[in-house]
Amino acid sequence: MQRYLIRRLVFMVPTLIVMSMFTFGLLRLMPGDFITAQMAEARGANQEQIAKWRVELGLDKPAYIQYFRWMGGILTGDWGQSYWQNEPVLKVIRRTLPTSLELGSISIIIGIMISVPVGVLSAVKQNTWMDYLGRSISILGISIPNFFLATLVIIYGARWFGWFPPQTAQKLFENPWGHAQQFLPAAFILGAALSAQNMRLIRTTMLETIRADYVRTARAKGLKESAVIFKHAFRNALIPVVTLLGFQITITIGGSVVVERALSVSGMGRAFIDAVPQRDFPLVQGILLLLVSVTLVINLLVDLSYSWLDPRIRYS
Amino acid sequence: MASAASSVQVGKSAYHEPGAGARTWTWIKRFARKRTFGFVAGVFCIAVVLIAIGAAAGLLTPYSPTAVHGADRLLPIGSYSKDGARFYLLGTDEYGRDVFSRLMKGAQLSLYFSIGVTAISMTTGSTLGLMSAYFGGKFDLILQRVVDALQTLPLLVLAVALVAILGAGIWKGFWVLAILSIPRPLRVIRGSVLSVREELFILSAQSLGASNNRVMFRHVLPNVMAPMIVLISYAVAITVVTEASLSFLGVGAQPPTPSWGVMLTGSGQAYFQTNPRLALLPGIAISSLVFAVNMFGDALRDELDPRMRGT
Repeated sequence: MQRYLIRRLVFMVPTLIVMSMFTFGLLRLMPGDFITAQMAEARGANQEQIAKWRVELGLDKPAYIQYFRWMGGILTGDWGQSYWQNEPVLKVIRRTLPTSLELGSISIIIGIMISVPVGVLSAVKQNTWMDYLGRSISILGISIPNFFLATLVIIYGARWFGWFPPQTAQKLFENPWGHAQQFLPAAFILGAALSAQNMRLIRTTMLETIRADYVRTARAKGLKESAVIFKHAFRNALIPVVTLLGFQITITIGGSVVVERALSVSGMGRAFIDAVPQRDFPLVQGILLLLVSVTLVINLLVDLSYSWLDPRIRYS
Repeated sequence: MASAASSVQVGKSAYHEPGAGARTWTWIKRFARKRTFGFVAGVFCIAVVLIAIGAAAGLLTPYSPTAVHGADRLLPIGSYSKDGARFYLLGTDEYGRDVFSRLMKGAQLSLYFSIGVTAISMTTGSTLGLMSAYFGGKFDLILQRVVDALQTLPLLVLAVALVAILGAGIWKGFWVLAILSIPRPLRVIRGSVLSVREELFILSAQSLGASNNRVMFRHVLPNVMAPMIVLISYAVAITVVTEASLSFLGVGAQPPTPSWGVMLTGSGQAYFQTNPRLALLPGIAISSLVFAVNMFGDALRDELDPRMRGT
């Protein structure tokens, strides 16, 4: 187990290096840099000053030197200075990451709270009206684009309840009600989409495990139906679900861009999407690198959870 | 071996020939009776395809979807233009463009986009997945590392970065999405092929001297069709949504292109307080198409998967 863990951690290093080159290269392939992006709004600027500015930001150096400077900074804990926001990248991340994490975890909890009961029920009562209803709702959850749902929430929230999403960041401890108004709709929208995928998967895997021999054994030895379903069948149906959940965690942290923008929640996804057109290289690189690292760690945790869910799986 | 193969072929075609059409008809009738919901969804999908073809031929767009009529801004559903020359079935948007024509034309765009992306990503992804699992070794190892790397970043995030390199526009978004959608079928098909490869009939085909291509496409491929159908319906559906999301983020189709995503995010967002229909109509169009494709795909899978027979 320990050896396996060490090997996995060591293998992360080359992946991280390759992905850092990839994200770095991706940005250098984009036409223009931060200065040309700024100059689009300030025509006729002094060419000399522009050149000086470029030297100050280090954008005049060849790409490989910029890359090594950046990597050197990462290793010493200095992720660089965001050009556009004019503050350290780590500070921007420290400001936006908690928002993304909060939004992500609330929506995943909502997703699980909906998908587990509906998925299990729909498998146990296969081909009844409950099953059909559950499946239809779940497919509907995938069918509605997040931002359309967000638009609906805004339209009818305003029409029926006179509710508007708060336009500025609401702090949890200063204004808990405003904070809830900002986060809960977004979390529900994300959670609905997540629960739709989960529910379908839980139903499919439950349908398989429920017919397994050990479930029949559990029933035969006189266990309560709830114990049979949850202790025997459900636990064994969890492995694919945990895999999907791992994917979803990374997607909600980085990919909630759409909902963040629609409901003006300023998380990391929004910081990313705003930084790309500004060609704010350090910030975009920093966010992408963080996302890649988080994904790698979560993938490892998912793999480790397999042996906890199914003790027959052992890593060596 | 050649004669054995041809005699099987003859036997098979002789069995099929007399009633192939009738058999298909019976199958459709049975499908409609057993899986009514999925059948209705399938009919809906076909209707959307017909609409798209009709829109492409200019039959279903009474007026030009991009023609601006300054006098007819934001007319409600079922109203006549100010000069009485035009009838707007679903009203007009903020530039006086006919919403009905734009919706119909948007169906064409959404379908081109999703069917094209799915076709490219599914053929490339499943061929690569098939080869990766069948040949194994270094090819498999390297390809899987590339896929790993691609999957560490969320699709929308990568798409936004790539579109920034290539510049916005619907066809650039098309290629970006087509390439970024390859890993999923690649992974799933690879997983299924890994288990099929170990079956006895593969070994017997190989020992009869069948070429790698023959074994892969005639013996392995038909056995991974069930997950493939689910993947295809999922891919078509998710691409419709992703195209709209890209437009929402401003990196997909650009106005005045009548894409459902552009309609929903452009005038839909700007006028949702006063004219919610501008957001609701394209939104309902997207959602119902995706819903129907998924329902149809699920029903088809249940029907074709022998393990699901009788459910």
